[in-house]
Amino acid sequence: MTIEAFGVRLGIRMNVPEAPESLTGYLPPGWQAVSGSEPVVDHLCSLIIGGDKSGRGARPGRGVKTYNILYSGSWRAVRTLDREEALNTLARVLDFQVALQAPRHVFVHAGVVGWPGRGPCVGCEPGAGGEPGREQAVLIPGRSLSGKTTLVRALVEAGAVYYSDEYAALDENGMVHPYPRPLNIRAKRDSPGRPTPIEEIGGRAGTAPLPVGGIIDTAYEPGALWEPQPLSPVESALCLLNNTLIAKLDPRRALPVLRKAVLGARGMRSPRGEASGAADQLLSVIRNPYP
Amino acid sequence: MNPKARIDDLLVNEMEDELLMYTLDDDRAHGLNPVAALVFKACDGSNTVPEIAQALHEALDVPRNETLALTALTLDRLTEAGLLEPGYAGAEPTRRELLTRLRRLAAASAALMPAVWSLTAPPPTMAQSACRAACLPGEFDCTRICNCSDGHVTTISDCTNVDLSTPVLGSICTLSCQDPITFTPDSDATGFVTCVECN
Repeated sequence: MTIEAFGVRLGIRMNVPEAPESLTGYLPPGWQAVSGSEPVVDHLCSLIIGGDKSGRGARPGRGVKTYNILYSGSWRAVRTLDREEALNTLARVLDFQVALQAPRHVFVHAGVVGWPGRGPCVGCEPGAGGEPGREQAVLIPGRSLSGKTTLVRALVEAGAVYYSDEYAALDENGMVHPYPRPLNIRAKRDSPGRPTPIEEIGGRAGTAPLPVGGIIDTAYEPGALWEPQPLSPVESALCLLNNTLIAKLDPRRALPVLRKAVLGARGMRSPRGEASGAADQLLSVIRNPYP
Repeated sequence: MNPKARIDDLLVNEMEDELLMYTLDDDRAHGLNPVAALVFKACDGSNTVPEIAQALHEALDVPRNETLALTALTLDRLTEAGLLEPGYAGAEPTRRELLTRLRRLAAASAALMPAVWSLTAPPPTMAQSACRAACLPGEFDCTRICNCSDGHVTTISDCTNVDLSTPVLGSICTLSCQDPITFTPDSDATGFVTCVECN
């Protein structure tokens, strides 16, 4: 099957003819099927479905195990007896290829939620704070295991609109587009995440692009107090750049987009202690950004 | 030689009164606060250091007797970041001497002190989740270099047992049986090769 997401064409071939329908939950947000018998793709994944954990689907025979194997291009991405693990890996590979190759978007590794704007910020950069009541995006840049999913979840449970726990997809005008994969919630810090639909925690996913209203640079430090320091626009841009997938590949395209995204946004940096406390403090800042 | 701002291999984005820059030869991004940006812009190769200091004095509310030290300190930081053309000899006083001179100014207003932030642009694989996961046993890999959550940087061979010599779908199955995981080829009806663990 061939799909397109954010302008990237992805091919997925499988050894089981009836399987493509079962893949829909693992395809990138906003994907659309591409018709044509011999489409040209930007990236090809090959998924060999074997058995699952219970042994269903395994070939008969004593001592025989059939593996689920995924190739990303020519690279073997995973070999596992757990079909779900192979499918989750497929989702991550597809996300990565979209984020890397999207021709009109710059992807930043960040958690993103939408939150109503509070009106212009007196004494801040022109435009900061935006229009009263107009929804804005709050970005929490950070790589995996930095705790951004926990914060995003807390913000969604507090009423924020879910945009992504993985990528901020910025268009050429610096607007953030939704990339609402199911939340990747880990039971333990180093364990694989469990995809959790946002509706399962009472949230809803955004659909419209938003201007960036806030950039929160935070990382977990045991025992740390929440002491936010303001970031200038250029500091905010560097913070995003440090998590931008094409920062090194295509800085000519990335920098102007990041510039547009941060102008008008309010940036802050703070270490944080335990997630629940930090989320409360983060919420108070978002609700009342200009004390 | 008068200080001259670098032009080659440099991307410059103005952000109000700050500058966001990128040096293409070493893939580093730089942020200049308003003071550093002002000095950088004044470095056209024709302005002397006292002339740049005068421009700083006129643009900012800085005491005249401190602008020269402030300019020298800024030039020192721009040089360190590789944002000036080679040839500028640098300031006479050491950075420590300059900071001592400017201590009172810094205490009065930190915003008047020059700041140049630099970072190395991350390769795409370091900016994505899968690389972290790849550092865990049994997880998939996507990159040759993984930046693990504990700060450990490792290579693909450390992360997983992915065989880089198997670029073709199914070719791993042609490997002979070896411990600990071994396979034999088994073509199915679809023409795909399914790997089956050896008995």
